[in-house]
Amino acid sequence: MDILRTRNITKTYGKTTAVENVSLSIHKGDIYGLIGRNGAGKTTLMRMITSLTFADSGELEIFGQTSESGLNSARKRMGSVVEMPALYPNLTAVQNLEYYRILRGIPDKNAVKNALKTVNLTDTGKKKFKNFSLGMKQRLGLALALLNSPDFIILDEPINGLDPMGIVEMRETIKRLNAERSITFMVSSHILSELSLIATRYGIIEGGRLIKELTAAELQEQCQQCLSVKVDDTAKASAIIETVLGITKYKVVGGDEIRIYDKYDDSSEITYQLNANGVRVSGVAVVGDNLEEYFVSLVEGGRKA
Amino acid sequence: MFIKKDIRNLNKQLALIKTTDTNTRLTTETFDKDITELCNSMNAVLDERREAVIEAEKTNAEFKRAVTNISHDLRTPLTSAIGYLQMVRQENDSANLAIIEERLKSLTTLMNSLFEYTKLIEGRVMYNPGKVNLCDILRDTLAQFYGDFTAKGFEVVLDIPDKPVYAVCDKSAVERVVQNLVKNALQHGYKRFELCVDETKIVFSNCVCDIENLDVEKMFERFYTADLSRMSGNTGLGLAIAKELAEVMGWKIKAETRFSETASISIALIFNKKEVHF
Repeated sequence: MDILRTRNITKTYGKTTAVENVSLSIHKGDIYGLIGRNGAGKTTLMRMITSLTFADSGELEIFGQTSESGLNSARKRMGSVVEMPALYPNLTAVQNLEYYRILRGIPDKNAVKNALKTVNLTDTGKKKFKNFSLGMKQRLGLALALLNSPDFIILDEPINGLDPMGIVEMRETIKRLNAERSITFMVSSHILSELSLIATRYGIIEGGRLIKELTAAELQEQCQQCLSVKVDDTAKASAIIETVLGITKYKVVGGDEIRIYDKYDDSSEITYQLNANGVRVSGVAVVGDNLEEYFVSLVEGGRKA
Repeated sequence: MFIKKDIRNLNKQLALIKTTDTNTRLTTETFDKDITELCNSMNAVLDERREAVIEAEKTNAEFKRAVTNISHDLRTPLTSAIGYLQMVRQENDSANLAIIEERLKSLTTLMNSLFEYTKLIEGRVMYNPGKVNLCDILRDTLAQFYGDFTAKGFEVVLDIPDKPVYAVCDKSAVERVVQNLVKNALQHGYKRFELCVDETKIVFSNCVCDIENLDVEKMFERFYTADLSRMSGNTGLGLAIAKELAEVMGWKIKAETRFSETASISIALIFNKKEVHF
């Protein structure tokens, strides 16, 4: 079942269109990485999902609910950290969470301690929220989102303001919650490589439009450099690749395509030998960019279109 | 008074938790000492239950992934085995080698559909919707198979309107679904193939001989095939893939048998009209 679906969702602020016809879906168990540059529309999209603002047009579906009241009860199963969480500046971490625990009627007195432990924020003692660093605030925000045992968590730029150690910890926390508690995540970032370590699916957003959705496996395929050779007979070709060319790192990926991961810079030799041994080659191309190049090419393509 | 209300509320929450796949835990409005304790004990039970569910899901997902990886990884050695065999056959051919090659090739077909199917159930296939004229797809696909139909002596009746019928869907997915359904008719039907299109559905019908052995309920299950030896390169995945793809697009697929002068089967592909808005 899909946790979240948006259909042609659009939001304009005056004359600027912040989000335009975005249709995306998040499956159960996903860590969905929403990638885009600053101002691409990531936060606006998340604000609409968490009801911090309303869409001008389009449909929103959370846990299969689309009606106003259905969405409200569905949102109770959701936790989010979008922008600054509403925490009291003069209270400590424990006091803040205890306040929300009672407000939300959570019976377990250990809930606060457990949430703080999960995000690694147990030693702040008497420090008040207003004196927290940005990273600590981010973590407390996540602890608050975790308090009512959600099934789906939305995090807007969770690694903003974290130090390198904090980034690693945040990634581990997200991964662990996803695996152990089966929590689905939607996480935004402007850095593809930061998310590439945890996300299982990606949505790339530019100028308010969703320009591409792809899975982690597809991204990896895109970003693994190799020589793609299109031939008429993959069986014959693979025997030649092994015996004549002495290449073992290759893969038959379709009815007519072989990907060679070794010696791929010597494409002329490969085509020559295939031809000489009676295999027709209809196309040869080096495919795969590095992550950043791929992202830039996608975003530029999205802007032109 | 308040306590009674709280208990009613707890019951409501519990009913919801029971029917949904959720981490949600019971909450109280009163924080009455006894109710709080009751909530905590019930939540502990829910936690245990949840852990078992998650564990089972994890195992299931790992298994699916393993099947996908295996079907992916077997392709390369299988293909090169065929290549080597072909080389041997060029030097020194025999009827047995020809059989080995034929068997390896049907193994490849089997592998390919298994790979495609696992990709589908793992949700790795992306759905790129656009406005598509279904009539064009039907005409193109049938043109591909026209030769096969005449070779098998089918009478082909087409009712495709000249006026375009649009739907919002993924073009390649629809092509695949139509191909699979047509292939199915071609493989298992005889005598007569009918296709008609209206504003809400496409219906594929054909005559079948041994209708008694056909299980309409099970037809779309994976690996359902009357031919248990799978020697004909029939994987039993064609209809399962068609169904899976149709459902990704929010379409429905239904089969129905009919007994008039000859037994026949119709498969209706019901597309989602609701999503058409331009």
